[in-house]
Amino acid sequence: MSDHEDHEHAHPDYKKIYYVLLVLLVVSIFGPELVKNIENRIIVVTVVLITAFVVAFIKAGMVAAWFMHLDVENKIVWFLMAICLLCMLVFLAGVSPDVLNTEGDNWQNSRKVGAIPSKPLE
Amino acid sequence: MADTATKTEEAHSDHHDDHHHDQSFWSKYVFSTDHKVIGMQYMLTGVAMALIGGFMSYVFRMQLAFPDESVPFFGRVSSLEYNALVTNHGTIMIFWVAMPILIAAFGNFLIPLMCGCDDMVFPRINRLSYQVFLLSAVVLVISFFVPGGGFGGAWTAYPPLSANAEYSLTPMGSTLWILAVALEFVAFLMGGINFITTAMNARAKGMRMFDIPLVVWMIVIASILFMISVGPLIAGAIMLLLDQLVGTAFFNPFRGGDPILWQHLFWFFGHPEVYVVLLPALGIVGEIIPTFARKKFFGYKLALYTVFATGILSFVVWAHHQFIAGVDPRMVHLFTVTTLLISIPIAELCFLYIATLYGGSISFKTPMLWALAFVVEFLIGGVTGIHLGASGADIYMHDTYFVVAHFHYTFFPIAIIGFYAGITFWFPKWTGCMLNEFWGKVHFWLTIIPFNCIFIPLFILGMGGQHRRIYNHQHFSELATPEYQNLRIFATVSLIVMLLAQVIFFVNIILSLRKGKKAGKNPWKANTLEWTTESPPGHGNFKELPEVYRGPYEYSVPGRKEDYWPQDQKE
Amino acid sequence: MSFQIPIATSRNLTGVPTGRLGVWWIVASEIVIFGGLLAAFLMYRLHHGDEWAKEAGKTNIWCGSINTFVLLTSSYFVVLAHKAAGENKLQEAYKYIWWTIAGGGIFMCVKFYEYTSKIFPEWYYTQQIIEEKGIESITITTSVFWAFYFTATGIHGVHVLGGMVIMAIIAHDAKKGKFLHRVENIGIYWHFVDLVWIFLFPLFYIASGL
Repeated sequence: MSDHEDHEHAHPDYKKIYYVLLVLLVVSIFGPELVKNIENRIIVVTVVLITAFVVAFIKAGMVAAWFMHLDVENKIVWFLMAICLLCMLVFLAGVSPDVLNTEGDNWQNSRKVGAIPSKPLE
Repeated sequence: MADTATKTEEAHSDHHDDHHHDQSFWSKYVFSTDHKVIGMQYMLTGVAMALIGGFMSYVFRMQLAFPDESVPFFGRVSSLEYNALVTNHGTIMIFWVAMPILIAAFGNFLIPLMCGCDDMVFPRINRLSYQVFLLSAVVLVISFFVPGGGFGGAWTAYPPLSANAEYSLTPMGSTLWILAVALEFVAFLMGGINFITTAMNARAKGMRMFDIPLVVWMIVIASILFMISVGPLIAGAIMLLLDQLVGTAFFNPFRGGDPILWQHLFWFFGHPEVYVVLLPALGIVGEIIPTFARKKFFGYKLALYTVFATGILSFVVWAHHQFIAGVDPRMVHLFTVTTLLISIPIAELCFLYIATLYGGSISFKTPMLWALAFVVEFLIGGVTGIHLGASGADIYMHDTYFVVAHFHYTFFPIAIIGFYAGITFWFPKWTGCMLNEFWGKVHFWLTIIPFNCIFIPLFILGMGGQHRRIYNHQHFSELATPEYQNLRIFATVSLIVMLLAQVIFFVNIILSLRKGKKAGKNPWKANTLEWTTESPPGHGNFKELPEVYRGPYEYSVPGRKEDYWPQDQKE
Repeated sequence: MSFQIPIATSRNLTGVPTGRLGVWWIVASEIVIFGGLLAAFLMYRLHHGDEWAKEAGKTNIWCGSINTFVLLTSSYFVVLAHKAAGENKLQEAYKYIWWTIAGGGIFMCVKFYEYTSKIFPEWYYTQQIIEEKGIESITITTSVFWAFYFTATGIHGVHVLGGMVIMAIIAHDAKKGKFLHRVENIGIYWHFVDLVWIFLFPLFYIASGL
């Protein structure tokens, strides 16, 4: 019944969005390539983070907003997507202290904690 | 727009009336898209699986009480078989009993009826969801009989035990187990999408957000919790499956993996899962208590907000299952605090139920007995949870029978008491016949008393230090004392009494279906929409799709002749 | 077998049509599936640092870039198909859906090349080059990085394939003017598959410098 109704919203200029997405793609390919041979670690990390990941978020936002029509969709859907992403952040925050913990990698009992005594206990 | 909507609805209902006669048995009961039939299919499959799970508990309890003696109807239990029995008892009772009965069966049956529509919004996906679920149950049952036997690495399936066949000794059983669980998740994702969308989009005219009955709210929130929490575990299940079959090392510390990650992936799902099955049971109880206390539900909106809070909090407590697994001590403090916090909303809900009872004219019909028993028994489960949520106490209690008794005091009220409360309450609607009250009460007491007799001894044993994964306590001199052994035998005998008492229930159902009183439309004089249609409801549920004028709990309204006020009555 | 779509399906309380709402829920459940996988990868990647950076340098950045381009383009086509369907230009919608499917096909071909060139380098290089450059066969069991690489891109590939099949069915219906709302619904799904790739691309291909 609402087939016509929800198509009433004006379609954005998809071609323009598409071109912007392509430009961003080029940026994200060549950004990390450009700094590949630079020694300074800080510059490399900043450039890669921005060109690879910030751009990825911008691209994702553009696709979600205009191609998936989240901009004109009922707010409840937007809210739903946000909750799912938030839960993933909670997961990341709760788990990373354990997975990122390097203590115990290639574990050797160097301090002889709980070492097996050479002679059986009486 | 509203006009066209009504027209399409009218056109549809005309069509519906002349549409169904002479359907074959297969299209009516097996491949039906009707939500009531699918709900019944889920219910029967769930009960069948409950019988299997109950039988398993009988076998391993016999092994614990009379170690290494031949168990009647089974034979001698080897240690591998013992592990497989315990593992699959847990898996079945949660994934193939609690979930299908509480969410899928009651959800399928109640949501369209209570929302006043003719079916689920995606009936064919609904049918597919049941078929996938049935397949998953079949795969699980097959896994008991493959070479090597069923999976025995506990329902939590921690790697490396679950990831390597040379440790678990069940090369095929563990793969089939993961496959079955994954299929079951897919089935419930499809079912959940249906429930949520139906309750969001297809409610009767006039039914606002706060006119939805509690049980529908609860099932919908449970479906949302399930859907959000299960994602990481599906990813984890794929990783574990690859570890088993292909030989990757996602969870293998020797080759750069991390077994703790699996525990996090599992419990990030596993803890909200507790609330996924708890909420529908709380909802069922929340329908029954106002009906039999003839009182308006005390604090309907407050209950909903409490449930929202529970849902949110349930996502930040998962690591309390891993306090001794070597997780970061700083995080342990955080998770202790959140775990203790989450008992507040649940306690609040229990208080709301008690407040609803206060000053009501209570009639102790069988469903009401079950509902009250739920509140009482769940309270014990919740209170003992405090000990385990506090990290200091948990270091001692972890993996003892105290934990076993604690979670059985929560899961038994959820899965079994919740099921009996729901089935005795809606049985008249589902079949059109009343259940026998006397035998219902006998069954109630013969279930509740032995239940407590099973698990109170386990609390004592657990505090005595009995570890939960030991299959023969005679191997440990401190645990093999006659006092402890007598407690084990007492628990086992109580279990057998409880299992036998279930026969009463089945006989009661069969006799009531044959000779029971006709129920009529509204035997309990309840308000929600499902009681305004025939019992059992025909295809399309309502002759005329209802319109809603008020909330679901308008009992004993002053100035009215009758003490109830159905949602669809204008005056 | 006759099947009557129930009245419930035509109801629309939230203002989001039922089919589309269902697809949004599917997307939500997929977000957490991929979210869990990528969160796990991200943590392992940070944990292993340099060791994995070396491995990440071995992924084929050009294949990844071409595939990103292909998916973005197919996303563009599917949104044009939705627009055409909204304006009731059936033939045009049909054409654009098939172009989208073709995009998915190219994506899978590139993926096929990428996988096989990792697993069977001898298919593409002579023995001499392999020995000179020290190219080794890389499979899912080589290390945990490659396990993640094959698992994540593999699951994503399955989603692409599934989307292609569903789109072929929808194109068939759309040509006759049936179920036109499904064009938009499959579009949302396809954009989501594109979104996942947008994140897989930097994670596996271009951030090897970190």
